[in-house]
Amino acid sequence: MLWLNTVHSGQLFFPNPTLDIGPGSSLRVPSLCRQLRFLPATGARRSPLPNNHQSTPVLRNRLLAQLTAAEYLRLEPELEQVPLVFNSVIYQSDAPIDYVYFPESGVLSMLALIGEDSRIEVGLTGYEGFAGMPLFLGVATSSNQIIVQAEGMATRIGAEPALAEFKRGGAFHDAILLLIHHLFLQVSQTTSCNRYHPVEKRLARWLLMMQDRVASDSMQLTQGFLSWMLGVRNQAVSLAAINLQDAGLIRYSRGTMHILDRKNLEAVACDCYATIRAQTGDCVGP
Amino acid sequence: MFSVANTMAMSTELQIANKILAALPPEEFEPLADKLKPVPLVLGEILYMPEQQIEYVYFVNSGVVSLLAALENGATVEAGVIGSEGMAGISVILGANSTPNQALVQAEGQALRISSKNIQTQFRKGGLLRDLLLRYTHTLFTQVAQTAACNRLHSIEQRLARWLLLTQDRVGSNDFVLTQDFLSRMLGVRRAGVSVAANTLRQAGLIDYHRGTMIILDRAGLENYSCECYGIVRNEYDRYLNL
Repeated sequence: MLWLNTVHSGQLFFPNPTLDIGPGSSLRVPSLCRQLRFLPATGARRSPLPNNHQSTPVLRNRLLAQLTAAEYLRLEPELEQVPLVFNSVIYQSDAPIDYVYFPESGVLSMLALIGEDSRIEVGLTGYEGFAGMPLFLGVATSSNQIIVQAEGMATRIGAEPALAEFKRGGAFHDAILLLIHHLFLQVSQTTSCNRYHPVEKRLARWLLMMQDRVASDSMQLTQGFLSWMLGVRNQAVSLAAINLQDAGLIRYSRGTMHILDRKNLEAVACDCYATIRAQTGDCVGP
Repeated sequence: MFSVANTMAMSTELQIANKILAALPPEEFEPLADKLKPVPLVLGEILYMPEQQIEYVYFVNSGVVSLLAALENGATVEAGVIGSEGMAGISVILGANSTPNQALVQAEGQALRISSKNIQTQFRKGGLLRDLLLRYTHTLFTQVAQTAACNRLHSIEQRLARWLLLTQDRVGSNDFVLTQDFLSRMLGVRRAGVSVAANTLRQAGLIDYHRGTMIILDRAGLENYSCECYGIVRNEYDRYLNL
């Protein structure tokens, strides 16, 4: 997969001080989005910093990429690269938040648990965001369960240093709050989408949102998993997937979903896909 | 409820029923006092339209404000409700100046309104106001996330029961003005569907309604009938915003 090469290529990216757009900085700034979008694939960017930082891992995560040099230097000793293992649990519902996770690749999914055995996805985040939101809102435990939806890598920071940096009120603070706003929008759009839109359109939206974040045309996926994510029976997911497959938009085989025709998948997806993209500054995906 | 006398004119006492404002120590409330303006919340009034600049935030003293998530065709469903425990306009403290949600007055009352600029300034100073607004954001987020799940998985009857409980908690009364048309927009179901669900609850002796007024007859029964989503959201408020 593309991102694996990226993460392990030894390519260096250090947040460029010129990217610091100061207090009130916004993920909506289009130039910033453009600047960062194709970064990992090209390997062209070089750190302005001296050689002793050569071991610095690639920071593809948009939020971390917005740190000022001073913020980065303070946090650097706390940054830890960890793999995101498919289907593993990042936070159990109601469990303490020990670390904040900033995906560099892969996707984290926020689930609401209903009853003993039912769960449904209420939001997802990839390299544009982070997991561990309640911590910054003054709550030390995660209300929702967070799982790895697509494998990848994350940079994680201990709860204490992350909170200390947040309390300084700089670019890190502003970016965290704005991402909470974006996640809030995504989740509130989902309240409507879940109510009104047919499975097929929701499946198409979900696949597009995933593709934007995995930066690959194929992703590991089981039907049981999809059924949870969309909150519908296995059979209904099957039917929706078959319809998309018959239309030549996707191909599903042996646990892997392939996106064949992204453009037409966008045409099938409900407007929520475009709405969420527009609201969150169009920062993710191709 | 307590009141704070305006030092300039004793006749214009500010009524503070909003729980966030009421919890503030005098040194934090003082700088806000002369910037807060009491405004009526009129039933059906739209406080924010999607994508419009948010000029004011509203600390609700009484009444209920609904956050509606709208679809391209104008269909809506309620994503969250705000009463005297909260503030309408949290996007502002998160650094955004507009929201795609519509904020609509669902039960009339009164709010203390303050400009976005002034609340941002105060928020940045830290203190209890900041802590409470952040914790409030958490509880509202939990509510919206739970609603997203609930809208997919639970029956109209259960969702109606949940909605009535959330509303009753905020209006602080057993009866409130409510039309079927309104409920239909809140729950995102056709009027006929709302009608059937309401009738089921009425026949179970939990509610009654006539001439546009909803009456809660058996709150405990309604809690039993509701999906777990009510309890989860309520519990989150009690744990983290116990004001």
